[in-house]
This record gives sequence, C-alpha cells and structure tokens, in this order.
Amino acid sequence: MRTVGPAARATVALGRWLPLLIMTAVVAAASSAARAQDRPRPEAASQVRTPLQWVQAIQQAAARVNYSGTVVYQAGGDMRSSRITHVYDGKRSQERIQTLDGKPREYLRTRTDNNDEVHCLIPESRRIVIEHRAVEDPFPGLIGAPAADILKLYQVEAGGIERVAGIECQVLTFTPRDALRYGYQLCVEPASGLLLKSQMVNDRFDVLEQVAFTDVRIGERIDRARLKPAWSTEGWSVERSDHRRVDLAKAGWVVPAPDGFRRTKEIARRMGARDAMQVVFSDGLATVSVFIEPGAELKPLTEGVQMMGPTAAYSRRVGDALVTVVGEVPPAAVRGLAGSVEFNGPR
Amino acid sequence: MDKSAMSSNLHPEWERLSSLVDGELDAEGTDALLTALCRDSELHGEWVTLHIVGDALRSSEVAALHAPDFCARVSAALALEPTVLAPRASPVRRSGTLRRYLAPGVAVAASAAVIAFVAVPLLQSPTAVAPTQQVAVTAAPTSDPTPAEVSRRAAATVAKARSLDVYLAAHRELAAGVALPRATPYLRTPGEVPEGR
Repeated sequence: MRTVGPAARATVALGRWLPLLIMTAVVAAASSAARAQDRPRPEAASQVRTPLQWVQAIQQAAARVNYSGTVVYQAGGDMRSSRITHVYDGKRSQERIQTLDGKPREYLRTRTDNNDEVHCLIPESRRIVIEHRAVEDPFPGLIGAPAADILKLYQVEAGGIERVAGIECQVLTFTPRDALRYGYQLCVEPASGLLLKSQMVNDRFDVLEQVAFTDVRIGERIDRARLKPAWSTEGWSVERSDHRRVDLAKAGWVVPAPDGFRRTKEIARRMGARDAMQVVFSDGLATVSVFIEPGAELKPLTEGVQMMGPTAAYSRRVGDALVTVVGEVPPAAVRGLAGSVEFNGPR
Repeated sequence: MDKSAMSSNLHPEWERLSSLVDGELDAEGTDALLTALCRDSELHGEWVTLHIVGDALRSSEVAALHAPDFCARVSAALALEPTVLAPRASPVRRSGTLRRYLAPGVAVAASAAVIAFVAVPLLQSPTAVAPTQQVAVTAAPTSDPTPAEVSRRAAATVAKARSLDVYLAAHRELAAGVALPRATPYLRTPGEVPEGR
C-alpha cells in the first residue's frame, strides 16, 4: 500500500482544481473588463457637471472639437439633411457644410478669434458669395451669450441618458422662465460636450423644430482635404455680401431689446428689390430679427401673427415705414417686439 | 379583489363605475352615470384611477404614459371644435337606431373640424383661426365651400407666404440658433444664398 504525504495530496488537489481556478480567474477578469467598457460614463458625467458646466461644455465643444457626420433638420413637413465636417487646429475653426437635399450648395466657414467668414458656393451660377462677420458679433447662438446669462433665462436640468446617432448622450432640458422664448431639449455627448440633438418645444411640449446627427464621428483626426469643396471654383465670380453696419438710433429708430435678448447685429441690406434695415437679437438660444423698411407704399404683410413652421412673423406700420418682426419665438413675443418699435425722427 | 373590504374609502358609485368599464351596465344606468361623471369631479377622479389601475395590470409602460394634462388638453381641443351643430339639426330623437345613423355623419363633421383645427394655425394667424373655424361650422352640415372660394383662399395664403419668405431667408441667414453645429441657419435653409452685391 502506497502512502501519500500531505504535500502530494495538496498537489493532486491543486492539479485537479487548477483548470477551474484559471477559468474562474479568466472569466472574472473578462467580466470586469466588460463591465469597465459597458459602464455608462454619461451617468458619471452628469453627476459631475452642474447646469452651468453643461452649457459651457456645449459652447466649448461646438468650436473646439473635431467632428464629422450627417445632420438632419426637421420642422413641420420640412426635412433636409447636410453633411458637416468641423476641424479645430488650436487657432482656427473650419467648417464645411454640404447640402444633401435640394439644390447643391456648400458653405465653408473659417473662424478665428477676430474673424468669421462664410463662403457660400453656388455651382449652377458659378458664384461664391462671401459673408464676413466682424468679431463684435458674439455669434453663434449658445456660443455668444455667457453661460450664466442663459441660466437666468432658462431653467436647465439634466435628464436621463438617450441614444442619438448610435452614441449615448445626456438629456438636458431648457425650460424658459418667461413667455418670450420657447423651451429646448438637448442631448449632449458627455465626454466631448458636443450637441447631438436639439429640439425646440412650446409650452405644450410640441416639438416645433429639431436638428440631430444621424451619424457622427467625434474627436478623430480629420484630413484637411476633406474641407475642400467638391467643385473646382476656378473662374467663379466672387461677391461680397452687401450688409453694412448702421446706427438705427441715429436715424431716429427706437428698437428696444426684449428681456434677456442682446443686440447681435444692426445692418442695412437689400431685401429682394428693396432696401431694409435689420436688427438681430439673440438670447443665446433663440433669435429674432426686426426689419424696418421706410417706404410709404408698403402694406403690412400679415394680419395678426403669421406662423411659418417654427418661425413667427408679424408686421405693422410705424410712421411711413413697415416694421416686420420674424423669429423662432412665441407669437406673442413677436407681436410685443413689433409693438415696442418707435420712430422719433432723426437726431 | 375583495371589493367590500375596500368599499369604505371608495366612492358610493364605484361598483357601478366598475360595471360600466366592464360593459355590464344597462343603457339607463349608463346614461345616469355618465351625467354624474360630468358633474362629480370626485367620481371622475375614480374613473381616471380605475383606468390607471387597469393599464398598470396590463402593462407598466402604458400606465407610465398616463398624464392628467393629456385629458385636459384633449378636452380643451374638443371644446374648441364646432361639431355640435349636426346632431342638433335633427328635431327627432326616438331610438338608438337613429343615433346609429347619425353617428357616422357626426364623426365626419368632427374630423373635418379637427383638420381645420390642426391645419389652420399653421397657415394662418391665430387671430384668423376663429373665423375660419366658424366657416367650418356653417359649411360642414350643408355643403362644401365652392372650389373657387377654396382656391382663392389658398392663393392668398401662398402669396402671403411668398412675400414673407424674403424676410424668413434674411432672418435665418443671420440668426444662429442653438449651436448644433455652429452654422444652424445654413442647416435650416440650405439652398438659400446671402444676397450679393
């Protein structure tokens, strides 16, 4: 009879159990790795960021993150998509937008700290229209207004996690604190802060218009060649946009900014066959334009407020001029703004 | 469920309400109860609860969709609808058979009014909504508006919309909305071109 020592017995036992031990270890490691991958980072991020930090993150990302993808805009029965490529090289943000529906167009935008220029390419007439925006324009949208000001006008709350364009994103609701603006529901990719979806809603939570990526790549290196237009523009005519800055107050016009809105532009321009002055107001999310057209023969275009999808329009006569207010704000806000315009005669 | 055990905090009409939901109440009882439902807000509350409970038993997802707001909104929309004229036009109301004949007509009038209610605000100003609905009321039971009238109205709307388009384009060219991505005005209205010199 062979006797087996305790050490040998332990070895045998280990030999018998070793494969199982290894398997357990492998499975445990694999599952912990999987957990690390699956862990919904958005949740962690929403706990970290305050509403103020969310708004700042969105503002930063729009200018500073590289992204490319397809964006769909929808309002009422209207839907159109565009392809977007955005590159930031540390000094300059460059953007290329190609329309995918309707007439082919490309918009090439270059923005630095003190310049903002958009080239609009129109292939069928071989034209490039250049629109130059001076820096005093705190454009665009959310970018312009300080985040703290936006929080004074909207109550911002972090909601759940959604999925847009295959990416998990944090829902943020912007509820207006007064009746001068609509609400917004945004979905933001938490790591980069890039806005993936934006819905404008009225006080009954009907969606009036929405913009969303249907596919997007965030933060990858983008070859500069992808910012080049699809057409060779050699020999195309180049036109500058005809906007010039004006001082409406000097001309006798009083156009008070609605509560929470800031004047972002005050220009003279052509409107079809007519001359007009245009003042643009923005609160960081919503924008309204006031058009003033001196000229006695013009009749008001609207009786009451006219809705064009998400946009409200209202016009009235002030002296011998036609005043028309157009914006993505509630009808009452448009009417109120038109009513506040006065003409005091030139100083 | 043992109804008698709960009956102490239930509405006295709860039993009949439950029969109504199950389709077991006779016509007379139904009429009386429906009248009571319209007047008694507490009973109406029971009615809502009953449905929430029923939905919860069937599906938690459906139950989660219950919004007190929704009913209020539908009621408000119904209140605005000019549908009541058609049934009142008939002086005779003898039997259920007549009601059965009338019902489809009412439904058609109602859906015409709903279309007016839904479509009109998009095309016309809010102040113009009321008169337009008035037109729907008077026109629906007798005859449709003449084709000439329809096309005249449509043409006027289109002409208005066209003249406003110039403003819309000018506004959107310079109005940046929510920063998705930063050139939203171009996303809203591709195909448009800034006015050149």
